[in-house]
Amino acid sequence: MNRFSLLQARSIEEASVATRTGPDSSVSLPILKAGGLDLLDQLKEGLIDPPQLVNLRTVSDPALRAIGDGRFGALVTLTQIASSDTVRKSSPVIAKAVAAAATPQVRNVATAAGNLLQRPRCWYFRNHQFECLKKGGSQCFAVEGENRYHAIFGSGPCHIVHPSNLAPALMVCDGSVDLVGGDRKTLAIKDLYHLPDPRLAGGVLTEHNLRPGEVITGITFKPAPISGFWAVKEKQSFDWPLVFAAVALQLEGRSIASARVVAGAVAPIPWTLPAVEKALQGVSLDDDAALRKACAVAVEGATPMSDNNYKLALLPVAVRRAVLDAAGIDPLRG
Amino acid sequence: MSESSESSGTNENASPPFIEPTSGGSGQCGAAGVSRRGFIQTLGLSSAAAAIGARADAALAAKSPSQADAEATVLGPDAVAMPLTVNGSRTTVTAEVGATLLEVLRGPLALTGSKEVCDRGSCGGCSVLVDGALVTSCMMLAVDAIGCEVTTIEGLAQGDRLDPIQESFIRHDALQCGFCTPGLVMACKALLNHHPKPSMDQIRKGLSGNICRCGTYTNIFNAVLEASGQPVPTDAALPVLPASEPTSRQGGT
Amino acid sequence: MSSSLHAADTGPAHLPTRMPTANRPANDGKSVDDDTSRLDAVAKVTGRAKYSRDVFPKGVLFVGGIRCPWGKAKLTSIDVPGARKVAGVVDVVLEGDSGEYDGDPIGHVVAESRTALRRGLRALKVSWERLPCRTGVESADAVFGDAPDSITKALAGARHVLETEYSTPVQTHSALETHGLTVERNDENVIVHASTQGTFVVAEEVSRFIGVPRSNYEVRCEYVGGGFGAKFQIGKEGTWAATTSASQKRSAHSFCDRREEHLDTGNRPSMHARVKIGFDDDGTIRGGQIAIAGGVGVARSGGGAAFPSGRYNLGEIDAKSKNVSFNGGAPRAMRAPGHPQAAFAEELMLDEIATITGVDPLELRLRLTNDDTGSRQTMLRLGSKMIGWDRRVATGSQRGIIRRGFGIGTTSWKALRGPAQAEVVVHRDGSIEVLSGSQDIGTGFRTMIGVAAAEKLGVPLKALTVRIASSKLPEGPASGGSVTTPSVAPAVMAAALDARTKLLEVAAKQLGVEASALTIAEGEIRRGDQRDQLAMTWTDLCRVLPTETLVGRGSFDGRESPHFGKGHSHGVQFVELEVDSETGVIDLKRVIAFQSCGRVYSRKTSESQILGGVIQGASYALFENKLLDRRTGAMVNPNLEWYKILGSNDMPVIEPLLWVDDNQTGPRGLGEPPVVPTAGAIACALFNAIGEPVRHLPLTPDKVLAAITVASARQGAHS
Repeated sequence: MNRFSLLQARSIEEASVATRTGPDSSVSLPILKAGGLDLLDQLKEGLIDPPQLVNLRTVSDPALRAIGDGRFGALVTLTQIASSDTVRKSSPVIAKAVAAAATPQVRNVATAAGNLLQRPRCWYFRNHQFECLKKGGSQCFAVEGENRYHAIFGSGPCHIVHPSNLAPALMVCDGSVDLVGGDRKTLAIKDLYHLPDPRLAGGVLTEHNLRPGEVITGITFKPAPISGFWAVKEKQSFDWPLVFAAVALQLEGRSIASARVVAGAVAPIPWTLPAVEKALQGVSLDDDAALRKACAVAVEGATPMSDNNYKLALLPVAVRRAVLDAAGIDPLRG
Repeated sequence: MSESSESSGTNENASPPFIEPTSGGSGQCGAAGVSRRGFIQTLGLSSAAAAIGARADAALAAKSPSQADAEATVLGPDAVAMPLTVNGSRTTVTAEVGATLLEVLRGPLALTGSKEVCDRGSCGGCSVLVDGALVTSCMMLAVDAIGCEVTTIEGLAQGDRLDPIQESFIRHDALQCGFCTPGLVMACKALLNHHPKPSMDQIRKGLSGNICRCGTYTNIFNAVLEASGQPVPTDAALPVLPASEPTSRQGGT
Repeated sequence: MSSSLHAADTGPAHLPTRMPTANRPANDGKSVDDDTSRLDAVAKVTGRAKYSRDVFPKGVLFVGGIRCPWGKAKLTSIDVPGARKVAGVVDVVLEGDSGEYDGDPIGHVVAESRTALRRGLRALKVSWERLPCRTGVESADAVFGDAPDSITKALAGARHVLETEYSTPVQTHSALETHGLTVERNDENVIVHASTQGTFVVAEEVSRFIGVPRSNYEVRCEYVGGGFGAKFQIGKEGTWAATTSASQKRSAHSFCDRREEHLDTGNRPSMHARVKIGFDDDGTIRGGQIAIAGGVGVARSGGGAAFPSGRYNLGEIDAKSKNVSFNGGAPRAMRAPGHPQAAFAEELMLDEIATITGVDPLELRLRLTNDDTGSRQTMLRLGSKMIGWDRRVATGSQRGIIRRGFGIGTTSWKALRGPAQAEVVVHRDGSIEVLSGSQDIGTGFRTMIGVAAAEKLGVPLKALTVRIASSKLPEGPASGGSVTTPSVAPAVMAAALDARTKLLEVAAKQLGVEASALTIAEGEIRRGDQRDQLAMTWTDLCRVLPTETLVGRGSFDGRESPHFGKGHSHGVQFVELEVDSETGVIDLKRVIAFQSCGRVYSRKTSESQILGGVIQGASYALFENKLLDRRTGAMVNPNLEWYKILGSNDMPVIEPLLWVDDNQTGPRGLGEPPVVPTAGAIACALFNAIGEPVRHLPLTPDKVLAAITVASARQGAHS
């Protein structure tokens, strides 16, 4: 594999400095490593060739691994989040989204921050022989290629879907990341990502908005006790979702007073659905027809590709079921 | 650098498959295998620096700031010594920092029970326990296992005394070609450690990170049920499902 | 029903997964009563079993392929000197400058370590000019053509004609241990550790490259991590191991990685079938046309499909078949080659006929089944009761979110076999060896011949050691066509009987009686069958053997033997599933799988073969697809992340039911028949659940939703 050195960081500050400056005479900056799952995949596929990795696992600050009320540290594993009574009670959507991700092996190692910052799974991106837009090349191969798992919103010129289960769940809980190493102390999750628009900073080449040297230390979120999650998957063992929805509700009796709805696996960023949120206001949980009508709005403005039109059928279903899940109603049995 | 290797007939794993000491300064002309009992000198790094893991090294904490600052906390890019604890034995392996835990286990440590199947963490064939947590060793750097207890399939049985899950595997024929078996045994072990009496749902999900191509899942489920002291189905009459019983297995958690 | 089991579930009640044999209502209450555990189970569950992939001799060289990454491309540049400069790279061998498919090898690199190998491969900085390529087969239209007059007449006279198409994708074998060889060289003596289905196939193939005469090398494959048909040849990766070892005079380890495994170690070819079939109101099929295009990658053959299968009376069929090439890896036989894809189409076609005529699909199959033994008919009746076929509602009648469906598939496998030899060796200290050079790739072959030998010799199984998988041991067939056990077992039994005869001669002489007055039972020499008729202990007999070993030899000529199972291995499978009609996601609930296989020598390993076949068939039905990028021909999913294989949380409850035939004196093939019916049964069950067939595998949610839309529109039009 690649040759690189490993900076066993002793503090977040040390890590931050390292990713801003790097070792002498290196062409590219060092890359932060938490669990390392996504990094190792990229290294093995030959997508990156950094001179140095900066190991966050060696930073012994307990706050990085703690779960508290409305906050968990950046290095908390997905397993810890999924099994945390605190999180499950205060914001079940977060625990559910994470419990549904990947496999037990991955969840034991993958960290919260790593999950937010992981790169897309698009099979053209992950295969180094395709010089795609995201890698500085000239075209998106999904456009006239195999795009059954690609985006139906907000895409173009690159059509990836953002892979994080956690990000949409945090967004419906007004989640934000705590940062060190730059001017910003905090950044809302909704501002953490950008569309692959060449006019935006970062443009197509990156997905998130962190600057060199900025390191996530923790994730904060508001409680969302009435919240739910629903993913549609082709395969129920290890598989990425076809679409999923994260929902948080405020109820008045059996009526939805307000809703937060964010979809995943449908766009290059976690996809907010303000039209659905508006349509759900005042809808009764027991009014199936009204619920369906409100959730159908989810596909407004969708721009499906040649092979992923089916996602338009799935998305309203995922949204509606996440709403029911939030309310503690079994979507399949009532 | 002392060289030692475990000789065992024609299949000794003395070959260091991934060590590339290219700089002359290290004085390495061929890397060492593993000494299970002895000490191996580190390559000019302080033992404290080499032993840093997620669990803080008390020795480092005790050093004065200026000394600590001056300590090299950078490993590599040349091969480094990695003190590891595998199956209860302390051992030191010399490898590049990019070496995965799986490579270290299968190469210098000659523990070939953990298999390389996909090398991308997608199939569970390389699963081991690190501090009791099930992980895919192909997607973990060996250096990240420093300071941790690594348990591989070889560490489960105590001599001829098999772990109960292994005995159940045998009784229920939960294996065919056997290549997925080490990873699945470890996954079952991890599952039972966390859920001593797992439900079928927990079993199905607990093993969902492991692929078996021969098709042994049915018997593995039964092996887990037996090893956890739960009834393995023994009904005489085939039961029949009621007219409509939807599943909530999909979608949510 | 064990209520305590269900109380432990957090979700809805899951069925028990298995029933013990004694209680299993196989045919007419005959049960298979043995509890033998797999002989190599301990080695496998402890990780002690060493596969060829695990062998790293001292000083071994590592070999890896340089491969074309596009469907079709020309090499434009390659930095061989740059690669040679990488520390640890020993050699770079170029054999070509163009590729015809993703994975097509143009050379290989040899290095001192795996890291050096990877770095050497990267340092080559290979660049290619992509060329236009063909990435698959669109249809069987070109094969269809005109029908002969008799067929045209039959179609014209039929009450209904169904004209439609079915297709299946390219499926990769995906054995977990990849293909390759480790050639262990000790001066002029070589051990070839092969991940193979054929010890003697490797011995033969490698002879051209290994650089030493046959007398100087041994092939070993004691543990093999799966084959499924792809490991009958040493392939490029094996050739490189041999040639590297020969030229460098060192050991060499050459194995595919997972990507190469998907790309260039064979596959089940795709199938496009076009049918035009005429039938009457009672389901009688008059005949018709079946045209098949098999997608064979860069090969020109190997794409056939057994459609019609011969298991049903389909009247007069004009069957045409053509192999269609494209820029993809060539196919290799994969578990029941030609059958699962054909059975999928045939079973679904039958259910379409059933729906059009209003005949129940079970009833239709009972009417059309071709089985003189009556086994499949009996299995159909029994299985329908067990699955609860009366709970099946009419196809297209359900409107709820979760819809339930039932489907049926059948299989019938001819008993193939090949010549084999075996030995049973008894030592003076009483230890016993059973020797066969053939391999156990997970089938339980080792265990089954042990059981067969023990029974014929008259000793307990634990008294003998089975040694297999070496070219120094007696020759036997490769593991293909489900022939291994049926071929070697007769030879083993003959060897055991030969040993027994010779032993009794020694005993008779010792005791001063006629050999015919003695027998061997439970490891003792007796004057009769009973325990109190002991004449001599095993130990005492062996101590007086005239030579250090007494060798019993047996052979089977591949044709006649009193020790093999006659007839066909019949099977029937019933599937019950649920479909989420809002998402198109299928949830397999239960599979009941009957399978006959002659005489059963080891219940557990035989049931495992059934389970394995069903699971592979289900995975084929729902998930698997070697997908080539339509423009560039590169495989977009050459991994286990996006090449989806069925996992634990996708599992139905599976009931493997060994069917015991009358008068069976030996085993019949079992490896392949159980993988044949499953995909067809699942497709039928899906059709039943949603009211519209999905005629193209894999049965993914997008296709299911599209079919539901069609069904809804049709229902709406009729309401």
